[in-house]
Amino acid sequence: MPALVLIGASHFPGLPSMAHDGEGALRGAHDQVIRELTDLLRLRDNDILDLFDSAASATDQLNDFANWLRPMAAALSESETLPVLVYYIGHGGVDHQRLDYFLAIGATSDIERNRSSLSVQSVLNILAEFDERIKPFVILDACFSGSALKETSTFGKVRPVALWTSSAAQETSHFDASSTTNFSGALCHLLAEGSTQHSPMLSVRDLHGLLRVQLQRSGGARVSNPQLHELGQVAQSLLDMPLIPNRAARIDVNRPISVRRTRRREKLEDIERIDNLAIHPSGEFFSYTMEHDLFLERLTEAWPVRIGQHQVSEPNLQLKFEISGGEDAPRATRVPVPNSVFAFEGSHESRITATAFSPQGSLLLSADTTGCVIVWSVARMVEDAPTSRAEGRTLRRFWPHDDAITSIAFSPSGDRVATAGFDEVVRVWDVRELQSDADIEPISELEKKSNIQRVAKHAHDIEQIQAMAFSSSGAHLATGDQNGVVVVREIYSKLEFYRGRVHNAAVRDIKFSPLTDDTLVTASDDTRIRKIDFGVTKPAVSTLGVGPDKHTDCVNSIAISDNAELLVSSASDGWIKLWSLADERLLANVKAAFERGIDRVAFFPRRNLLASDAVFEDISIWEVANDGEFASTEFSPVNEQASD
Amino acid sequence: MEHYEVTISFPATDPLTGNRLAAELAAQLSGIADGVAAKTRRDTSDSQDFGSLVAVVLGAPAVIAVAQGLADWIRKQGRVDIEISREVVRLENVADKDLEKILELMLSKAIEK
Repeated sequence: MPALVLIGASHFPGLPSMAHDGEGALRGAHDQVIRELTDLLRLRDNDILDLFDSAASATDQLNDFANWLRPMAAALSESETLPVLVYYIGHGGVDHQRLDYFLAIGATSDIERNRSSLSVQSVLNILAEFDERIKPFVILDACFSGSALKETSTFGKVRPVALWTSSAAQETSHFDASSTTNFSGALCHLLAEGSTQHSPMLSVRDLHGLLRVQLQRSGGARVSNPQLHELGQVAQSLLDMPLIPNRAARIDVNRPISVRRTRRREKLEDIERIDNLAIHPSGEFFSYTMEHDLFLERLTEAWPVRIGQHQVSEPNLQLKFEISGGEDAPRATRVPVPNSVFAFEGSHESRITATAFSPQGSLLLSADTTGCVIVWSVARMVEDAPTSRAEGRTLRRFWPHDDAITSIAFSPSGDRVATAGFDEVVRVWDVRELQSDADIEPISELEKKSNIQRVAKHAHDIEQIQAMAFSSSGAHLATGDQNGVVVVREIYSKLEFYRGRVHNAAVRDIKFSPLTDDTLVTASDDTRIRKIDFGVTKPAVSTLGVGPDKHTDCVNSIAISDNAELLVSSASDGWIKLWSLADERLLANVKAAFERGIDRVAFFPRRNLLASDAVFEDISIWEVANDGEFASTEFSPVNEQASD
Repeated sequence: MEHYEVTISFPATDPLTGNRLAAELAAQLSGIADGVAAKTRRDTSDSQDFGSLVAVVLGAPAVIAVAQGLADWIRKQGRVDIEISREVVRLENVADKDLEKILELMLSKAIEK
């Protein structure tokens, strides 16, 4: 596990001419970097030295650095190595007399800028104290940072060092208006997203290549050219050292796979059930409901690896969870809402039964047992936090059905949304119209037994819809009812494409493969998961899991990974099971709930992460990896695998 | 006494050289006469550098002293293109007495703006 040193500053009291330009962006970049790296590398408190915005002099900061690193280096065995990431964020300059490159810190003064700042050389001098088990990676996010190559070269004659800079020697680096720097922002985006094209662990060289593409894609005249250098002779290149876990690495279904809990929010005993967990397309937010109440949370801020980092802004509001943090964590009956939780309590007048994010992430729809749908603007929901006010956050409230709505589904393109429930009708809406105040009518209605082209093998007296999904092309809509019947219709012609009693009890969830309309998977109260293959002459239905592999209680939820290789299921038996979708093989399973089972399970987009809501216990985040390739190498009690 | 701000920059240089020249010139001009202050400033507010502009705050009586200081600095540099409050001039092989005069005129003009 690497160690991380953050240096630099966002405000410079000794440099009045710098005013406060970029203060928010530089601070934002620091927060983002520390959050992503802490999260990905599972860094503990003592793995991080955060000197960013320290008012200490350059000399004192260097002493702090040395004193922090010494015990870690001393604890290394002969065969162990310790990558040390030295990450600078701030302003870089060149001394006009000696032409030395320097890095501004909080103590930098206009009187002697160079002397009062940090030099790359002085940082490397600290690292030179240690032997080659310490692997230095110097990352500089500042103007002209490529100028540091000269100073690094001297060190490189003694010891290998990797230098990664945000710009070339004569180039400026930039930040955006308020939130982050171009370099660190793009890097954090990459760390968060990972790459499907790379191995489970990314090297600095991998990241550099991806970052350059990312920056070019973002375009603009202010795109700088990050530089990557390695100095010194080394048997194995530092630049190729597997260093950072890749969140989007393709899982090899032919190798052993495990699912481990990485984070958990425990539910308090005296509150309602948790339902309707949904992941925002960015992976940054997730929503859930408790009876009438809707919650939206920013994942990265609200779920710190370390306890005690929440910034409480509204102590009057009460969060109905507590942060799980091992034995020493406080266990209050009520804890304040962190400012990353957006609580909209009582926004519905009855129990919320379904939610869905639009594929573009701008909308969240919630529906209840009265047939009411609220259209939320996600951007407005997160403007101020925390809040219980729904006013101003919603775009529309309407009643598309006369009875409880059980399912909302967006088309993959995001231009259509379908609603369905106990009134036995599916209505399809134009999403643009949902965002206006004008009266709206559904663009399509799929009635009970509508336009059946042949005699239905399974006619129903009641066709209350329990689950619904659009196909990957957006052309078809599949519904499942309380009697286990699955119907697939072509949306615009309303023609039935398929009707079959696939289950012996209610269909709880239904999903098309994200890659083809030919594969549909259904989950049911009959404890079964069925896969229907439409790519053959006669649709073929198969079962995932038989004997000991199958769930033993109602299967409540299923989700399919972006590449359609993995299927995950959750059930009232408390188990989460991971399957190979192609060969319907159980890959891994984990006991995730011990009381009343799990309502929803979902994949994070483009990542090997799952989220689950155990109805009466918790919300958890799970990491899926081939054995031996977990991002985490150590687990605190909260991170232990909740398996048998 | 009324004070004015004049910006000096180096249009034909790369940002790194601009930063270095600005730092050097600011050091040269700062305090060169009573009431004269010179600081570097970034030409765009979204860059992570110290700035390749020099903002000189001066009163009208200090124009001659600043012109002289600027001339001395230009002589040390050899050829340099400078921009004074958006008026660009290339100063190359200019006689000493003319250099100071030109700069004095440019600074006066900048103040009048």
